[in-house]
Amino acid sequence: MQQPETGSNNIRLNHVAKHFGSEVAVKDLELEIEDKELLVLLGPSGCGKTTTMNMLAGLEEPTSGEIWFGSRQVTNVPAEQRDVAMVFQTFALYPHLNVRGNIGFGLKTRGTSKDVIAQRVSEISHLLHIEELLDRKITELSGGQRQRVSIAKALVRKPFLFLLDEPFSSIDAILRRELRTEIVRIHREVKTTMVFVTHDQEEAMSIADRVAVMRGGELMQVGPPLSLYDEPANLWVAKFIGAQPTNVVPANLGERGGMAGLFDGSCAMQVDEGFFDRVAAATDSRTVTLGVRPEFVEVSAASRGASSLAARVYTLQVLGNQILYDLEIGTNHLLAITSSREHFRVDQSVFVDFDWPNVMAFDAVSEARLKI
Amino acid sequence: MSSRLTAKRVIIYICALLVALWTLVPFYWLLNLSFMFNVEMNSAITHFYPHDFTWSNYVRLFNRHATGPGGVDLLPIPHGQFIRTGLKNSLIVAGVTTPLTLLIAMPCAYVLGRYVFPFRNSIVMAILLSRAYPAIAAIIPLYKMWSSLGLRGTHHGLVIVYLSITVPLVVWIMMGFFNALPRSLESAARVDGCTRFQTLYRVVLPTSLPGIAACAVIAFLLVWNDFLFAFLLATGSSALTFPPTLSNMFFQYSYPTEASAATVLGVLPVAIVAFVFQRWIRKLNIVDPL
Repeated sequence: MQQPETGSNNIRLNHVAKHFGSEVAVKDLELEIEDKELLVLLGPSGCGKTTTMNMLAGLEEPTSGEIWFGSRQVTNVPAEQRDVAMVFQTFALYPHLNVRGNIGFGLKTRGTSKDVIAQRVSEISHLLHIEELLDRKITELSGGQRQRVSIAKALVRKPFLFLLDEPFSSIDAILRRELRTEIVRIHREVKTTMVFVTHDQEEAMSIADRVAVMRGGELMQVGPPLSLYDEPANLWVAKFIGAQPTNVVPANLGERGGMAGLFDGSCAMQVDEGFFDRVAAATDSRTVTLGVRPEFVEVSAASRGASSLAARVYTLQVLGNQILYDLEIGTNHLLAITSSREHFRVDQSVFVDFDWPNVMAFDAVSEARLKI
Repeated sequence: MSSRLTAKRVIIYICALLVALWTLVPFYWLLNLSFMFNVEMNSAITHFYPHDFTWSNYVRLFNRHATGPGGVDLLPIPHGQFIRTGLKNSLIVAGVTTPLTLLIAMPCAYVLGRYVFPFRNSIVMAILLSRAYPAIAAIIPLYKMWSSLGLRGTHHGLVIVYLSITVPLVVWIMMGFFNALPRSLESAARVDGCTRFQTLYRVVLPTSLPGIAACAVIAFLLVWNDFLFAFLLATGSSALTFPPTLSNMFFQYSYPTEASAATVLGVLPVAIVAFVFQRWIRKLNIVDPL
């Protein structure tokens, strides 16, 4: 394996794996983190994102593979010798020091002079609006204040890499939203590479430059939030990303212009010919899995003919300016989001159409998205 | 609501008062006797406070004369010199054992409380078993061994025995304490540039000060209170500690008023140690995992 040639300060994980005994936490991870970007590692618990972060921090050593910080190999360099700062889910502030002592701790350990420490602490506390807390004890702070202090503590060193491990998960929802905005602002101001770990796709989508989605120790997909939403690599990513679950509809497309059998074949609808052609160009199989996001399911009171499916409103949720319908089609269900102007009642018979240009198709076996 | 709260408070205060009385009345009685002349104590009913207050029992422990009721000359207490030596010995032995205990037990407790490694559970069980072992079963073999090793009747001989009692106990207490510290605190220290060793003494130990202070007091008290091993291993030597010396004095050479004064002298160092460390121990309940 040779030294990466790309951008001098990019961080590169080269075939990194981590095993705990017989358990594989991270499997052959290939990931490049660009200089000064905010990358979010996203995945459900146990997907290996925290282990990956610990390896970047130097708190865990990879079982195999290499980690490069720019042109510096850091694979086996311990945490204290990497230029990395970290914000922990549990804040991890030192209870025996006050706020000032906590923020300055990392600088002091590295032998920074007192004047410089004082100056940096005052700069960073200004940036995070915590100047008035500097002489408080940690035990006197609220959860949100503690998290600000722990961010200040990490940022004050102007690290090469800034890691945040689920930093907002022990903070209430309103403050969490505020801090998200804050993180984006701070990232813009300090211009440091940041890696942010979370299991919350909404959080990931709202702050990331790029999102790396992990599952079961494997990297599923890396990309900007919108591309993950519009062009998920596979069915799993399609289902994981997005506030409402994507409808998964197994389909047998049949003949061009004919009827397609949906679900277990219990209902049929006419597939858009353009869609059929695009799928046919991508695969020989007529059996595919359709992924239809709820906003691309159209609900109307009247049938448009063979392209409409008869359905019944099972439940509905008002989401403010939108309504989320759970529609029953035989024994199957579809979710649909419509504007709140068109309002259907529970148990009302309705007709469902797909917005075909926006319907995704996945290989029925591999579940990879077909490029249509 | 507020009246119920008040009632609850009153009950709590009454209970606290009862506990305080329970603890302090014997101590008060000890002080009471120590400031009395023997004559007054022997009157028909012992008074609840000294009617004829005197420091004579204390003064006479330090090889001085005093004037009793009716101008009687009271001689120095002959056993005073042994009491003074006993106090000095106890201070030496407890004063050396306590810091040594912390020095030995802290790293051990840290590793056992923090890391998983082969035979960890066996080691923990062995430490626990050493606490379950009746000390009295060991005294005769110990006497023989200490005699042949030349450790009997020496300060360091006692220190070694006391370490075998205090170290397992302190390891046991601190193991739980270290285990309860949030792990992320150490990760944070590593990321902040501390080596493993710096992490221990710059973050883990300062965070654990309340526990360490409590352990220091516990170790000091254990040593200070010991009668059995001191009696067995130091009787007849110049290293005899305070408790056996007091026992000798009480049963053989003195009046209860004089023995009370000697006892008060024996309680003072413990009170001072507890007072010094209480400012950390009081924080014990607020070391929440942040």
